[in-house]
Amino acid sequence: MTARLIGGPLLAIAVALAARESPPTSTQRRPLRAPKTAEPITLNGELDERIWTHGAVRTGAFVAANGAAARPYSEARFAWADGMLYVGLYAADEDIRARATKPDDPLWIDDTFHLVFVTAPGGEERVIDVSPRGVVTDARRAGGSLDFAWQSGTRAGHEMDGTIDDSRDDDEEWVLELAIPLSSLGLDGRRGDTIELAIQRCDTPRGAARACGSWGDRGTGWIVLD
Amino acid sequence: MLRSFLVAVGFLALGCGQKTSVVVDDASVPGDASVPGDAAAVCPPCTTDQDCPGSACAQLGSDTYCAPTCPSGSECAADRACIAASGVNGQQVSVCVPRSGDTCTAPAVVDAGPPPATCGTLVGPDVAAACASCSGATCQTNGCYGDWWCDTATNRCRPPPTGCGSDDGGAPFDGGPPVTGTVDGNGGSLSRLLFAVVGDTRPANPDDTPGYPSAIIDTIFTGIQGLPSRPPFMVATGDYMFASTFGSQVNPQLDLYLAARAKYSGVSFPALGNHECTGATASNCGPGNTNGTTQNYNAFMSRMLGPIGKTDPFYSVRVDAIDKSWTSKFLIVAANAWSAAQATWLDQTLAQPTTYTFVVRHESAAANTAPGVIPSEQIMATHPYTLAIVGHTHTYAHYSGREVIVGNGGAPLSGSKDYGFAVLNQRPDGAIQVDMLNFSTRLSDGLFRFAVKPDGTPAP
Repeated sequence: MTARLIGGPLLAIAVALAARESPPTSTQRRPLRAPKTAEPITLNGELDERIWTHGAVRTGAFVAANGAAARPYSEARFAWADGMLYVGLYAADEDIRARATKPDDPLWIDDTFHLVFVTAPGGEERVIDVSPRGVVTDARRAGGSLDFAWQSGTRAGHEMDGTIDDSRDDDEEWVLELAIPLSSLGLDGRRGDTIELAIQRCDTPRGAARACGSWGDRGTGWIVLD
Repeated sequence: MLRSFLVAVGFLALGCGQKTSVVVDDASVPGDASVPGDAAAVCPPCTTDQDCPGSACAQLGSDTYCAPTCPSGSECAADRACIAASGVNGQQVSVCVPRSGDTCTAPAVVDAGPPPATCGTLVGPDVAAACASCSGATCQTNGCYGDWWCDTATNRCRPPPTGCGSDDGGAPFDGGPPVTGTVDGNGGSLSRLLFAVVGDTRPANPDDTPGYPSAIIDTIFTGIQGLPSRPPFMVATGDYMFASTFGSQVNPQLDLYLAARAKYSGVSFPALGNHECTGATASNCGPGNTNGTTQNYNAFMSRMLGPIGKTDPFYSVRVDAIDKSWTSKFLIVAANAWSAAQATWLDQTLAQPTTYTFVVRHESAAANTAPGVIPSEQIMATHPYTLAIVGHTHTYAHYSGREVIVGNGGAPLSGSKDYGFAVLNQRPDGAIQVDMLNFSTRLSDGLFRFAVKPDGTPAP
């Protein structure tokens, strides 16, 4: 079954965004170059625009702390245009759980993507969480505190194949399609802008302990607007 | 840098209402000694409500914590949100939950793998125990709920354990002596029943041919071919593509699948999956059906069934003993091309007596939005059969009864298990042993192995 739930809010993102013109050091992972797209992107979680399969830069499979491929499978893709960073997030999931339904709800209690951007080295973090329902919870971390009054303006489309919060059957996957205003990350949205980003996806498989996979941990995640 | 990363972040929505200007001091990140704060003061761990004076003990994230209740929905502090959660007694309870999980969430375990049925004093959901934290239909055999485990030392329910030696890499697979005889598209005769199962090979997104899992499926078929006792034939549980019905990627993706399959020299009997119709689980293809003959369907028929001489998406194959000591039939059901004709065929073919009967279908009984699942299950219930072999779910599992899921053939894994394939092997006592082999190591998952008698009942 493909249940389409568009525009719902839920996202758990922790993002670290680096300032423009601050390229990663040689010890960091080679940055991913996100293409600019002229194609309109409909935020419905389908990832059916051509850019997602032909051009969008990909993280590949998220990894576990030991470097092995994380289970269940997750990946992210990036493109940009017109002041927006577009992020496609894929999560295979045999048991989709997402009880929170309102923006800024606590998404950490269930399945989430957690994006962390840093605007400058040592600067504040912009954190965006998104759930399978497309619920977005975002905050700015400054001085050790999270300010939930901060609004990223992120819009999320989502799609899932499965039954949410019903462990009696086998689910398949959920997909998010995000549009994040680059201005909310402190960027002008110009070619060459560099973004430091880390993404974590956490999940509780049926009958097993909660596990997380990630991309861009420890300052290795960089996106360059190409 | 990224201080909040790798701590399952939580944000707060308060009072179950709209966003409010609040600043939450989340300095007390567990393990972060550089900042002040006390996580236990924000999220005291608990096992019963008695541990939480004035609050409730609720299941949040990967553990249980005390949280103030909010029966009216408006009792929460600004840095918390009122949500419905499961209490330790299995009942729903409204509690005030910190919007950020920084202060509550224990470090997540990565790739813990499936735990065994027991782990020290902990016993799994399907093991009888004396915990009493649940009631009603959601209550597990161990007396807990929600996949939690019972600690037999305290009779308290706990989250699933990790690191109990599970998923230890498996054991070498012993397929027994080589099988003699031949099987082609019309069936055949063998000295022993031995066959492989592969299921679900597709990219994550439609038309994403560059993301097709060629490396994985190549390794799988190379692995089957390289088994010391090579299975003379295999069955496939469906989904060989993720291509839009009006796009151009159906054949390129099938090219990749068939190139991988060519590494295996035996005959293959593939089932039709929902992605060989429109992609929707509820879709129904074939002449006269709702979704008609999509290019996905046509390509499946011509390129996967054509070479074995099948003209319908549903078909049967007989494989019998060379010495006539046993017989078997394989019924390949097309739940996404369901029709009255298929129902009649299934009923009549199941009625033909054989020692073993295997029903191969893409969707499991639980994925009952596929048009042919419920009606085929109803027909199957009126006949004897050995095992239903299904896919659709991107993992492998044998929950109970006569159904095994084999859907880890390269599609994005939805559970905690790895890619691989199954081998079904007839034992000397007549039982069919089912092994799940890792795609790269070819080791068998000893925690998964099971066997069934010809009538489908469990074999020791």
